[in-house]
Order: sequence, then C-alpha cells, then structure tokens
Amino acid sequence: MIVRFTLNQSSVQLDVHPGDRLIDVLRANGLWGVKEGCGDGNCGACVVLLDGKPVNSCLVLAPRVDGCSVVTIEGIGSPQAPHPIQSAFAEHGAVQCGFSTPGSILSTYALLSENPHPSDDDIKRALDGNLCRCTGYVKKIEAIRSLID
Amino acid sequence: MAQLIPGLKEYARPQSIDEALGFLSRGDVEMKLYAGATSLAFSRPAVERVIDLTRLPLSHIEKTKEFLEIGALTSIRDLERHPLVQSFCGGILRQACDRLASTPLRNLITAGGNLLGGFPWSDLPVALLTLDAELRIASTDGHSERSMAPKGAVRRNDMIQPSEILTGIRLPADRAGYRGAFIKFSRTTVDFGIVTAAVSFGIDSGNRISDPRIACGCVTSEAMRIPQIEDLLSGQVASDELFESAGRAAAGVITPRADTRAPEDYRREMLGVTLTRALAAAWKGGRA
Ligand SMILES: Cc1cc2nc3c(=O)[nH]c(=O)nc-3n(C[C@H](O)[C@H](O)[C@H](O)COP(=O)(O)OP(=O)(O)OC[C@H]3O[C@@H](n4cnc5c(N)ncnc54)[C@H](O)[C@@H]3O)c2cc1C
Ligand code: FES
Repeated sequence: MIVRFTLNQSSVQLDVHPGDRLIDVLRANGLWGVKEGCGDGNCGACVVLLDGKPVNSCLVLAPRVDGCSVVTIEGIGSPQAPHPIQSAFAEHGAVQCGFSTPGSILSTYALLSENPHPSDDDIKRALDGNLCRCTGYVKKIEAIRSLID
Repeated sequence: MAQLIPGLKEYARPQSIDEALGFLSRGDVEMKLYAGATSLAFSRPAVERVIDLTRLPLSHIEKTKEFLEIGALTSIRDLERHPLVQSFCGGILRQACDRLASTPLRNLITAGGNLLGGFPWSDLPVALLTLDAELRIASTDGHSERSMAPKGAVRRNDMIQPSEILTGIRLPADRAGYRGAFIKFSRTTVDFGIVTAAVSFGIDSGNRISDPRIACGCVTSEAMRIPQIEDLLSGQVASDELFESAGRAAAGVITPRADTRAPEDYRREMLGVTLTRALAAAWKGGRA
C-alpha cells in the first residue's frame, strides 16, 4: 500500500506492506541513524519525531504515519552542518558508542522546542525513554545544560 | 523486511467513528482495533485487518457540570499535562500518568488503550477505579454508557465487546474536590510497577473519612478495589495510625502474585506500605 508523508522536510511516497514497522521502512530508505536496540519499546534507540513528538518507531506500523511528519536524526543536522545539540553532545563527550545518541538528540530536540529553559528534572524526564548501555547519562545532561545557560 | 504482523492484508484508517464501526461490523476477516498500538509488538495478533483509531476526533478533555470527560484517544502525555486534571481529586490522574512508561511511549499510549489493554501493570485503571469512572461506548446500535468496573475489578469483558469502540471515559464531578493520590512503587521510574495504590475520599467537618475508594494494581493479575479497606476507613477520623492500620489490613486480605520483579511476600509487604503512603499523601495533599 502507498503511504505519503513528510520525511525530514521532504514529501515522500513509499510502497509498504501494511504490517511493516516504521523503523524498518526508514532504515530501508537509507536512514541508518534510526537504530534498533530492543524492538519492543524499552530502549529508545529507534526514537523519531512523529508530528514533532518523540515516539518509538519500532512500535509504529508504517501506514500510521500517512499524512504526518516524521523527522529522523538525518533531518536535524549533517556531519558538515551539525545542529547545535549534536555539537554540544560531541563537545561534552555525551557520545560514547553512539548507538543511543540519535534517539537522545531527538528527545532533546523535542524538549527544547517545547521548553527552552528546562530544569535538570525536566531534562531527566524528557530523556527517560533513551537508555544508554555505556551509562553516559550525566554527560548528556551537561551537554543539554550548556545549550540553555 | 520482517513484518510485525505477517498475515496483515489491510490497514484501515477511518476518519470517523461511524466509518470505524463500519469496518468492525463487516465481520469478513479477523481484525483488531488499535489506538497507540504499543501492545501490538507484545501481542502480535494473527489478524488480516488493523483498524487504526488515531484519526478519530477523540483526543478531547472536557468538563461539564456533571463530568470530566477524557477522550479515549487522548495520549497519556497530553492527559498528564492538561490543566483540568492537575487538581482533579488531588491530582490523582496526573500522578497515575507520571511514571507510566517513558516519554516516547507516553506520546503513543492512549487513555483508552491503557484501560482496555488488560495488563496487570497498567497504571491508569487503578486511579480510575477510585473515581467511579464510566465508559462511553459506540456500537452500530448507537452510543451508550456503562460502569467501568461493575464487579470492582478491571476486566476487559465487563468493559467492552469486540463490536464496540470506547469513545471516552467519564469521571463524575462529585469526586473532583475529594482528596486523592496514586503511588507507584517500582524499581526504576520507567519500569512496570511492583505495587500501585490509589485512594480517594471525602472529609467531613470532624476530619472523618467519607465515601472512600481504595484500589491496587500490579499485585494480582487485575487491578481491583479493596472493599474491606473502604469499610475499615469509612467514618473514621483521619490519622497516621488509621492509615497504617489500613495498610496492614490490606496486606492481610489480598494474595499477591509472584513474578521476576518481586516474590509474593515482598509484594504483600509493599502493598501495605504503598497504601499507607497513598492515604497519607492524599490527606496531606488535600490540606495544602
Ligand atoms: C516497554 C513498555 C513499557 C510499558 N510500561 C507501562 C507501565 O509502566 N505502566 C502502564 O500502565 N503501561 C505501560 N505500558 C503500556 C501498556 O503495556 C500497553 O502497551 C498500553 O497501555 C496500550 O495502550 P495503547 O493506547 O497503545 O493501546 P493499543 O495497544 O492500541 O490497544 C490495547 C488494546 O485495547 C484495544 N483498544 C484500544 N483503544 C480502544 C478503543 N478506543 N476502543 C476499543 N478498543 C480499544 C485494542 O484493540 C487492544 O486490544 C508499557 C508499554 C511498553 C511497550
Ligand atoms: S528499538 Fe524501539 S525502543 Fe528499543
């Protein structure tokens, strides 16, 4: 079936199986920044923005996003022109193995769009769905704090 | 590419309740309704048609003289932040949403899906049990209302039939000013609960408890009210000692389940502790 949506600010039209997961469709289209950690909603490595809100793309069936906007890490910035959040994560060592980083940055992006001056508690809550097996949680908070001070 | 539901042939995206009921009433193939669809990866139903309810205009939260009504498709994240729920019965709904899964999941999970999912760890139904919630149901026969838990426990078959759609959850306004609290005891902020407890009650001029509702979740396979504790509290003067004795008594009337998170004895002990804390929090919160 055909699904039409906005992907990283461009209109796309994709032919999907109704049971395809959004995460697989995005990765099959070259968006490898969308990571699969657990596949059951626990880890947040697959987080993308659906109409501006972070969601676990491993739990979303692709046809659901018809008519919606989807943003992946590739839509936030590039190696040549990183987004300030991406630069802050790199500068503060908030990237270790890097696997959970795209999801964490997208959750941060959604947080700061809604609340430009979050408290530490707001930050912790916004990132509560992005697990980091390297346990680099404090550096993420420091990186985000550097953007709001 | 591996599919989540390999046999799925059709993904329906109705725009209206009538259109959704139309799909349901066809009865031609196995089908299932989905709201947040966060239970789908877990249950992987062998269906040929999925009916996606996310486009139905059911994400409202409204207050009338008699009710606070929560649209079935309201996300947990929108519910917890809505101005109308902040002070409703001591903020009990906000507290129930507060540690319900993680932020990205709270954006997907809906109030209706959390209630109907039928999981022992569901948080919202425990709070709703103490608010005398009524369900608004749509079927091809029209719209109707029914009590959420006629037997005092959260059971899917009492709430909904396969031919029906839940459109909203109504909370009678008479409990809006009652004291209330929900407490979740879990290993991390995003884990399933080991025990959850919710309480709501009125207070008369002599600080006597009136019309109490006491409920727990995660303890057995279904969220339930504890009528013995409601009887014990009714008409008594609120005090820390009373709340402690209520907690101890609750631990004596319920046989908890054991799972990987906690053995039976630990759950029993923590049920008492969590209930005592919820009663104290409701009492103190109401006073502030
Ligand atoms: C990793 C993880 C952790 C979680 N942790 C928690 C937690 O700590 N606490 C908690 O409470 N929940 C938690 N959940 C959520 C819970 O397990 C369910 O997935 C969720 O409540 C289902 O809500 P939903 O809106 O996604 O419903 P869906 O998955 O869409 O539907 C659930 C069921 O309800 C039916 N249904 C839904 N809406 C309607 C309607 N309007 N009319 C008729 N039928 C309907 C569906 O047919 C289905 O059978 C967690 C989920 C995940 C994935
Ligand atoms: S891969 Fe989606 S939450 Fe882990």
